[in-house]
Amino acid sequence: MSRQTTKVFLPVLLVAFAGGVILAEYFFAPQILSTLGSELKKLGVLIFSMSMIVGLVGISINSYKKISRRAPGEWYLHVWLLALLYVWVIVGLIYTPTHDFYQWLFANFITALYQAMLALPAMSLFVAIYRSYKVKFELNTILLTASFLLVLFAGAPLGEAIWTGFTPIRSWIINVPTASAERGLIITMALGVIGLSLRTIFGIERTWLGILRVPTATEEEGEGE
Amino acid sequence: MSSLLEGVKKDRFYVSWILVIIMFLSYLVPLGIPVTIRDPTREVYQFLNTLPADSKPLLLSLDFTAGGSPEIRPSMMAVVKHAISRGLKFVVIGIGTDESTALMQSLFDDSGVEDTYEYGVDYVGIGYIPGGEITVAALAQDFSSVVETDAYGNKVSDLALTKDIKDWKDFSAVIPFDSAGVHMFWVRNWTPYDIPYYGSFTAGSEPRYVAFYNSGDIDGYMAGLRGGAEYEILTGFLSTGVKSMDMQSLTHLYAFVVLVAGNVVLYVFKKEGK
Repeated sequence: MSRQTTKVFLPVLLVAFAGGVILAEYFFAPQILSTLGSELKKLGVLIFSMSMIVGLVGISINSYKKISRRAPGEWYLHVWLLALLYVWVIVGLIYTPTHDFYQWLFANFITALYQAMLALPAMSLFVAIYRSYKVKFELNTILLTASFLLVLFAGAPLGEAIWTGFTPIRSWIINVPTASAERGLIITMALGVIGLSLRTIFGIERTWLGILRVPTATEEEGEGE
Repeated sequence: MSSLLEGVKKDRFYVSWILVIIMFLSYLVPLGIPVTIRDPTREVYQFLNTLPADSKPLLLSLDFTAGGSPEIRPSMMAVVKHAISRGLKFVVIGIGTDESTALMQSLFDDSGVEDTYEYGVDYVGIGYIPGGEITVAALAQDFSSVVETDAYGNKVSDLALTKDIKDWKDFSAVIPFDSAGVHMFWVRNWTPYDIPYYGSFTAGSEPRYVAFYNSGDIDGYMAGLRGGAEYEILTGFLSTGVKSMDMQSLTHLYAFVVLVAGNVVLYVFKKEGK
């Protein structure tokens, strides 16, 4: 088999089959399509699970390479990364995530660190408001400031306690201009996804294969020589 | 005025520390600012409050991360405590993040479900199922073949609550709790079916999903921490959601004060030609 067949034709054929079946299953009733679609979805779940193992192997190989050649400034970080990674894998395999010890680790390490990390930008946000938000008498700035104040006061109970008018204004903005803009975005994205999916199913879109242009037969022969 | 300008040089320090102090004080000394209940939250409450106890189980999906937990967990806890108080059965899964199983176990530990409910009969914990949107679509069509065991290694076909579940028709409602940005998976794959659909997501996501609420695809929702606080008030299970509301109010007010202060300082700088 030529390189073009194995690297392009077969993957495109596979995607066309899977995508075509899932698409047809949605619109047509035959039992065979439904069964095939269901099996393909289960296979998708399985492939996704396998991708986690691939990720684990990939990150291990990458870190090992950096540690073995003592990559300056980062090799010790990879040691730390691998240590933590495998501690979690081993603890998870031995105890499972429902075990008390795993729960203790989860609450005291992952949850605490994750929440602390997400809280840090809040500090920067307030400093940024202080240093960078300069109110000017221009239409854009006035609109932005009005939205900012509305979100601040209508989003929290304090706003409603100060003035009850915040609630209906917020409700109107959320339900009318925001919802209509969101609808437009959702429909546009859906049309884009349909277009991209059809291009992928019919083999026109091939960038997911990692190639921008399929080599011609002549180019392939030239490469072989 | 020069002392003000000197102080401004340390602005980062002051702005951050005042924020921390405000947060601590508002948590320690609650002001009790009243929280009004919004319609989407009330819809969730009314549905669960009128659902008969012998209904089919609810499908709860924990799709939030440990980082998103402060915003989503209050609504999740309030909904589960409400369901338990009404004798409603539920199945818990997670598709958005692999932290779902650990979060599910902490939900079981903290909600008191293990004291009042019997596992396998009244509630079941499936935990994390990988696959993202494919899994969500597959669950609606063929739940029993996607889910074979629960988080504790039991076969779902051996558990009284789950042995007859085949597809979406075997649930009384679906309620995803999302901070991982996968709520749209559920909206796309479950709202086409005739099943009551509710949800909880971050406050920042509300503008996206309000379009689905207005069109009737989503029957009700709890937006962020505020939504959780509203649900706590409706059910009477007051917890961190309500406690955090004063903090949210005062930090929002502080943002306004910071905005004004920043502009005053800029004006002074300009006036003094610095």
